[in-house]
Amino acid sequence: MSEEKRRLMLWGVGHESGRAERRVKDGVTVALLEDGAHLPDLVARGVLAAGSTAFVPDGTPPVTGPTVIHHHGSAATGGEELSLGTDFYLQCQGYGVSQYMSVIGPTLVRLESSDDLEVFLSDADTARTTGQFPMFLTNPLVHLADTPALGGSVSTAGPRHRVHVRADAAISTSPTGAVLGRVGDCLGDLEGAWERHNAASTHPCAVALGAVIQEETRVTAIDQRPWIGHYLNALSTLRECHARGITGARVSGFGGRLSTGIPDQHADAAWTVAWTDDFALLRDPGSNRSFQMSRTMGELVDLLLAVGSVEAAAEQRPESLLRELEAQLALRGIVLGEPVDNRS
Amino acid sequence: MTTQHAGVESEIEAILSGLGHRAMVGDLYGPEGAPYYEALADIDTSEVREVIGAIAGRPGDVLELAAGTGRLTIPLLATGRSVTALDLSADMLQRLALRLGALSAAVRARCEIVHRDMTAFDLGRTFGVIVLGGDSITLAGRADRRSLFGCVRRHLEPGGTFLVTAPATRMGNESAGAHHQIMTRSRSVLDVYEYRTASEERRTVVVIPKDRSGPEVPILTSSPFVVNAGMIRSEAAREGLDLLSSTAVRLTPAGRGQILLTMAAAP
Repeated sequence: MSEEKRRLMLWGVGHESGRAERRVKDGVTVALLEDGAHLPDLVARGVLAAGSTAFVPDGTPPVTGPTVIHHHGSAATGGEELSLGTDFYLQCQGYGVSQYMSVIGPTLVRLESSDDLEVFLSDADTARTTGQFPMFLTNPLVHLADTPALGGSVSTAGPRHRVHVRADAAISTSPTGAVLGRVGDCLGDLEGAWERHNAASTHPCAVALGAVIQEETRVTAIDQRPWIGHYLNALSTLRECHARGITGARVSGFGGRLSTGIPDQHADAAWTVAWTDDFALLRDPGSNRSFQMSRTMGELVDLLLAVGSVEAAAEQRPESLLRELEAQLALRGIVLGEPVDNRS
Repeated sequence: MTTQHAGVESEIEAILSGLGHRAMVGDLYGPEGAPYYEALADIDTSEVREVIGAIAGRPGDVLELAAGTGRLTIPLLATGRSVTALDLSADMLQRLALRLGALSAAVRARCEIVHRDMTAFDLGRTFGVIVLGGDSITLAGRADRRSLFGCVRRHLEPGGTFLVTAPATRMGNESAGAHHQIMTRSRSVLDVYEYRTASEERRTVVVIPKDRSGPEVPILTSSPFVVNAGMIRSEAAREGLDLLSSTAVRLTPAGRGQILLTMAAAP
């Protein structure tokens, strides 16, 4: 994926695996402006700087500093389409209607109302109990917007990473987000507002869906589903499986576990274990790296992730076997529970 | 899978001859055809994207004509709108009601089912958006279409919008036909045949299950009129519905061209 498309997806999703530290030195990483007239002021106030990427409407005059990319259309609301030139089109659709739509290309699925949230949660609950995930959301071309507000990682959720600048000059991290400030504010003002919003919340990010879903409703939903972050990681894992042509994969912790005979605890949200009849796949969503292994090895890994340590797992499996597994994983650079080094 | 070939009509005759008394001919939109219509509609996501996109930003309740088993009704409800689903077929509406039963009470409360003829109805109210999808405009002949447009105009709120889909062109080669094989969600296969002769103002659609081993084999037919988007635009304009925009529908079944026309009542 090109850098400009990566940044556009960061703007839409609110998370970019493995790149938490790779933000720009000054200014936001990515901004999307509904009105190009705001561009000079954003540069003047340091919100946009060299290294920033600004997506602006066609016809916006260039400025010195940020990389300016012209877009046509919009991806702020369901039913819209945003294009970059003539060879990249990003569809935007509301969550509630997405299951009825065919996927025609890169798609951003937004939660735009409490009804959408209800459908999202219903799908998550179904996946948790039956292992059946919503098909459209496991399509490699489909991305769920604003995942930091849905129990996902908040490492790249704040205004230093992404902002959306509305036509009326209000600024948030998302078209559906609570307003953090206005054109004319500096980045520090926006960050301060973001931190204040989240300090008052038990489940950040409280900003990205703040304009369309009541905070109490959102927090209650996450409180009732402590595994929701793992669900988002499971979706990413299944998307990768489908991108690799792997069909019929199951994800441990959803409708059952790969390893048997252990309590149905939600696994460490930093890792997922998927499996088919033929092999298992261990994935670190933090780095986007996956490791294929035998089913037998996958079962041991799943056990370790569930119980948290070799000592605890040794109550059910021979410790020597578990130590050997640890050594084999270490050879691949894997320490369960720690992000895989993404230097490559 | 779609094949275009002359002799589709002859192929159907051969199938009927081979089935003999086991062939049960019925209406695709009647009680015997409704389950097969629903199976075909269930996997057809064409025009949903374009219709949903077209109603965005257009306020008001939605009246959906020829709602059938809810292929568009359910997505329209998913946008948060109130939808009145109108259809002439009680069997279709019964199936729609079953589908609604699986949805939340809040969604069901936003849907009213109305058993009426889309070419002659009076609901005593107006709507912000009226939708006639699925190329269902082809089910009405010229006189009925005129009546339908009149009903639409009377039921549109000031500033309201009429969305109608129609074939992009008339059915291609008049002497040829088409045969599609469609796998349903339950993994059964349906053979769908279409043909028309140059002298006919209608085309014939025949749906037959690929598995013909049972004691009775349904042969389901419909005879939509041969119209295209250009004709609909002209006829609607004569009845006071002006075109606002015309959008090509992407991903149509069997690659058939389809146009979404967005119209408003002329001042």
